[in-house]
Amino acid sequence: MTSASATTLERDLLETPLVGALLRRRGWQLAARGALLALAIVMVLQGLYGSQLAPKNLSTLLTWVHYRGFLVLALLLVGNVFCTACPIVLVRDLGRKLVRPFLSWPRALRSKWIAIALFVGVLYAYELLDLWGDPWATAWLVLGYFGAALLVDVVFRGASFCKFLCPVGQFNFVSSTVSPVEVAVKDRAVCDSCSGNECLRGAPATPTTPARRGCELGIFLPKKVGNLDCTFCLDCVHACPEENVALTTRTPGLELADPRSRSGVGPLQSRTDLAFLAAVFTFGALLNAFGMVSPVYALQQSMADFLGVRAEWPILGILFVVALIVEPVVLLGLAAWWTRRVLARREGVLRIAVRYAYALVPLGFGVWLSHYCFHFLTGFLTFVPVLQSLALDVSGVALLGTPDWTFGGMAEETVYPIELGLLGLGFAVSLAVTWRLAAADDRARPARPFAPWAVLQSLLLVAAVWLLSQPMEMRGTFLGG
Amino acid sequence: MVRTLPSPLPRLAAAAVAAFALVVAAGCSRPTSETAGVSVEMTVTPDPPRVGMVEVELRFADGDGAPVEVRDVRIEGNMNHAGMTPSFADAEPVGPGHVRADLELTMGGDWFVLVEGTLGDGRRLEEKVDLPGVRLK
Repeated sequence: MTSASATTLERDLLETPLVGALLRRRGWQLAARGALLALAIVMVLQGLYGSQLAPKNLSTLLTWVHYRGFLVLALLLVGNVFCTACPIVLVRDLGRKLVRPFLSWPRALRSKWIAIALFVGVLYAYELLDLWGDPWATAWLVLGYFGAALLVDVVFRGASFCKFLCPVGQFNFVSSTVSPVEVAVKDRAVCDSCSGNECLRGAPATPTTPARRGCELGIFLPKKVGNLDCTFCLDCVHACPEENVALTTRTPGLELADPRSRSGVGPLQSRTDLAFLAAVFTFGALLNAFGMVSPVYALQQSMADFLGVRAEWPILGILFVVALIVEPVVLLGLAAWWTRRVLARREGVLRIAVRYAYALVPLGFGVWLSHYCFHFLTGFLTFVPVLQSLALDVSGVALLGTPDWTFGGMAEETVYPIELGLLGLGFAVSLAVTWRLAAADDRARPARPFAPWAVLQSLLLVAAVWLLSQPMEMRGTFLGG
Repeated sequence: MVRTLPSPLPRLAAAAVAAFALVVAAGCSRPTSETAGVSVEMTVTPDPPRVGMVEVELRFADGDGAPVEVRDVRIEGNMNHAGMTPSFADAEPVGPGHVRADLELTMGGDWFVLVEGTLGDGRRLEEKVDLPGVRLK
């Protein structure tokens, strides 16, 4: 197997005049987290006490339209910057001033399996509880998220919640493998002569410098490959006494074909949990989009009639099991079985499936991107009248003007080609990653192992295009409920 | 010996968390809206409603079922999902306690209609009427 180097230092953003100077300063993360925390507090309070009409409440509007839109666009254009500015970290750090964590995360739980279950759980709850249309429930979801993270991280050291539990974090980690920016060492030789390993361990305060935090997710920079498990916190940038850490541009997606062992993660091809996360991420994107179109109602109704049930949870449960377990296992299993035949190897089907599953990520990200961009671009300006209304309610004066509810966004017809373009981009990167993997498996005839996965990705692309071409139907009408 | 004062940050943080917890605890039950004691009955044509222009008829009545006059009735069609641009229409009177309006439903799914108007005694009427299951053409 050839080694595909993903970390090629191309351009260090920390060296750029304005952005670089800002990012190198300590404290900008604190400001970003503080700003998002203030916004979260406003959203929670309005969710609990404000209008319970979803389009007129920041809790639902910002959570389900703007946050998700900004999140995927930031991942596409830069990287995992939302983890960087995560306000939960600020609350956690304050909590740790009161209660110091006293345990290490159990070794037996150091995988992504619980996080996968929580990721699926959030998707399931979103559908079952109609969270997009419920400001009060959304506010409690946000509060619950903060509370759970705080509870875990005042007990367990490091960034245990981020690394092993956070569903949004896993989404960001997986998505950031197709981001164009990565934290990487500038000069490996400098690291070879380093004895302090401050990037990992941090450094105590000195008379002239405050204490610096090392990587809380256990990533040792000289052995870091790609963006998986990196929250872009830049603690390593600030900790490194040699200023040997860069924020570099790179070729998006290439790391998915990189077989090297990566610090804090290990080799991708040995991580069944990460491969399953990649599959759930991709098939979950299709399932989440499927929930937005009218055929889903006919299907749900047929299932309900066939089973003779009126409750939504079992129908949704069956759909989730089929879409997120049965489908991926069968389709990836078939593709891996076909690959094994053409390679004429004794290698196990599971091992092949694990190796190639990561190639689905760019396509899956394309589906998430298309879906979230639809809501974001068509409803971008809808926050304006909600803010105007909030200012009026709080102050009694139209501080931001009289609420103008005609603010919207781009027309659906304009957004549709953008959605298709983003989807096509994801498909192209998936094929490129697959080709790289195939070339590593069969240097002489890479098309042979490439074919099964190209067929699978083409099938998923057709499904995604079909979904995007369906007229959107804002849901909640299941079984007339 | 120089004594350093303990940092006030933990106490301030604890106080802020406690205050926020109190505010949040008060929001444990869902907020409810008050009504003006006037019932609003809505019929939409076609039935079931379809994407496009629909006719909305509203009948206002008091507790005894007697028609109630409501002036300057304005309706707003909106979707349960945040991020959609609402549709607006001014209603015209048809009869006692009875108005109609043409409203454009731009997408399939679950809608609601906000009805605003002025009662005879000057009070404002604001009611939300659900309009679920708007189907595509």
